[in-house]
Amino acid sequence: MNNLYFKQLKISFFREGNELIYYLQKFPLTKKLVTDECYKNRDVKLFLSIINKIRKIILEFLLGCLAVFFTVIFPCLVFDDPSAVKNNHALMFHLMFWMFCIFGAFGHNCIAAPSKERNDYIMLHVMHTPAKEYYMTLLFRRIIRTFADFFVLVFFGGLKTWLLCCAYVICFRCIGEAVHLFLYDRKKSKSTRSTMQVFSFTISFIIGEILTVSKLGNVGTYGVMTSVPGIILTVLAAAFSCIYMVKYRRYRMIAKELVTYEQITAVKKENVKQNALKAQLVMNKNDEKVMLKSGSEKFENKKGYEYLTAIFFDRHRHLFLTKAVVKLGIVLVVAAVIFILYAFVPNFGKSSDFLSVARKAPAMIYWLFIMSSGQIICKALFYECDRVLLKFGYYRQGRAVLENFRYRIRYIILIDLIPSLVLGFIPIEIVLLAHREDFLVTACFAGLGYIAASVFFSVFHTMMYYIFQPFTEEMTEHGKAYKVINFLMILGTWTLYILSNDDTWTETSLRYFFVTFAIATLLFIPVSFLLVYKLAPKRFNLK
Amino acid sequence: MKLNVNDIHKKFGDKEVLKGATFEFEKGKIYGLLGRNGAGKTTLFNCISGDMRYENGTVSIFDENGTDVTEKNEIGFAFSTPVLPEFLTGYEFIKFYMEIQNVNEGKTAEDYLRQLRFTDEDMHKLVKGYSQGMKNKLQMLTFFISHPAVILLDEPMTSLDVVVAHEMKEILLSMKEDHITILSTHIMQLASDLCDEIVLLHDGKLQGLSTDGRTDRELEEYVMEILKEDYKNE
Repeated sequence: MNNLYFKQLKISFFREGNELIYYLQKFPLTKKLVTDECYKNRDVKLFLSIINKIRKIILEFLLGCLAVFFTVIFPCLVFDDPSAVKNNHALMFHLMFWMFCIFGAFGHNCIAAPSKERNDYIMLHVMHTPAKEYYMTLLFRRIIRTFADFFVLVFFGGLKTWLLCCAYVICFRCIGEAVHLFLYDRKKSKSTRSTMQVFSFTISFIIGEILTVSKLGNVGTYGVMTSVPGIILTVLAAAFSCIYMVKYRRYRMIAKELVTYEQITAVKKENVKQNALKAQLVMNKNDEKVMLKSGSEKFENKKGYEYLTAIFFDRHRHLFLTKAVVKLGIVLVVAAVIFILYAFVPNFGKSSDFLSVARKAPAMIYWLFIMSSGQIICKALFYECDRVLLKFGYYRQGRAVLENFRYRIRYIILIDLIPSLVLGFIPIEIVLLAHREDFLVTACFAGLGYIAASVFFSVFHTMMYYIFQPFTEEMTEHGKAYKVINFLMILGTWTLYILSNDDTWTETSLRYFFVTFAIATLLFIPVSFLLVYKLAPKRFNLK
Repeated sequence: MKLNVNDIHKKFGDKEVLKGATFEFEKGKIYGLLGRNGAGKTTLFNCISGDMRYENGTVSIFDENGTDVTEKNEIGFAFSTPVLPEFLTGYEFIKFYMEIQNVNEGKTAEDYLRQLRFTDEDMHKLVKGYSQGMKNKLQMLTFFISHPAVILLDEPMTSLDVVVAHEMKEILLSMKEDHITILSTHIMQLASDLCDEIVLLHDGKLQGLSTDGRTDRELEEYVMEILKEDYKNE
């Protein structure tokens, strides 16, 4: 077993060394230092992997200590009450027992558990390591780690407490693993983990935490754990469990069923899927079924890129429109609440300074930026359409890029306009309800400004997408300039939000502000076309 | 018409994959590009199609009069795993493709699809639901529409069943007269059956291989001999 342990360690050393070299080659600072030659150099690789290992060990040690601190020590410090428990040790043992001996050992087993670790797959199926030895090594590693994880107890409970806790956790780990193996055979199902997790978590949570916090006492856990029969029983159970594990014969079957290639790749697939879901890309289930000829006929009058764009937005309409309708709903509710308040609450808005309400108008620009669907739609466009078509030269030509951009912003602007058009009427509604017709012109300007801001942000996001194309085929985001410009835009709108509380806003300055914004938007549209035409053909490609 | 690949050099980091690849490909022929894994076949295709920058060399297309017509001619590239927008139906994709290529041959998208034996039901199905073979055929169909001077096929028969593979062979043979067709493959049998000439990519260079007078067995042994040298050189 020890031999295997060191073999595993050696393999993981070199694998991690290779990985580190790969990543260091990507960093501009280390790119020149770490060349391809490093892969061949054993000493360099060993040096890098030792550094990496030390980093990982320190990190794991700290995380383990933090987990013990927050689940065991911290509640003791907060809830220590002599009326509920005899002393610190008792409560510490009580929490440790339920959280680690029950929930930890039964809910987080390592043998009869589906693995997402690449290393497990490599060792079991590529290196053909004997499954029994491998699983025993895993358990051995966990046992060793227990001492490190609980080391923090030395400072709070002393050496004796630390050793006793470790001994209990180790015994219960063995019992937990054996129980899982036993259930795995009986249940004939692929994993027993989820059932046990729910069961052990419920029990641990109810008895371990709720009873402690509600000061119902520690139900004698400490007494049982420190009593001689308690210790003997635990040790005996652990010994029987170890014998059961040693005699168990179906480790190979477990490896075959629970450590699969699908399981390993599922993590990556899940990431892509999550990214896809973030981008709201799942098409309507009805669309996935056989399309009727009539499905295409409604686009017959459209041509080329207009045709492509129309179909894209039609096939994904329920996603984009649902979002827009939800936003519209929120805006309508706000409008209705304002109406109700003005209509039915006596003196509402009349006593307050009307100008102080009007001064808040520019703050809405920030919310319009947040509400804009441009970024999400561009992500969807990339994932469903551009990721594929950008592989072809004709799709990257300047004329094609510009034409595509033209049709797309139309749809994006329209989707964003659904809620913002109604939002544009809210300032007018407030002015009319408050009978402050002298502010009507300013309110109209504010409404116009809101609509302009919505258009501005739609164009801005689409233009940014075309100029920087920040997505990779795996749907990750990259590009510092893209992130910086977006951040500056958020900062700008946020500053506007903060400034909206400023008393320096006057009716005139508000009018100027919104008119300027509308004019800037009108100017921004041709500028965006020009920028896309000039820059996108070189930059709008696959990364 | 000729495709002239002249002294192409391409490096990835310290590793030089193409070390002056040079060859002249002619219209009306199918060329089988053979090479071991990682020899640089896809890289060469990417360089020819202009999707990848290379350190040195030129890729030019000359017409019958010897005039350079590289700018006017498109290079068609079919990927081993077909890349098609999956939210469109086969019909919609072909219609879109015809429009952006400004094709006016008096044929409709349906006519083109029927040409490759797509049924009415198939053509109005989302590409997402197509089999690998159907996707491959749809990809090939784009060449019938745009008539690129050069067609590059990156392992076109990978994971195709016998029937679709046969159909694909027929399609390629029917197209060969009007194009310069280069297909990369690992299947020796396919190369010797379908291709007029075999080109080996070894040690970063292209080498024409005459099939004349050699039986399939002899050809295979000869190719093996050359490729084994690559292993020795490594």
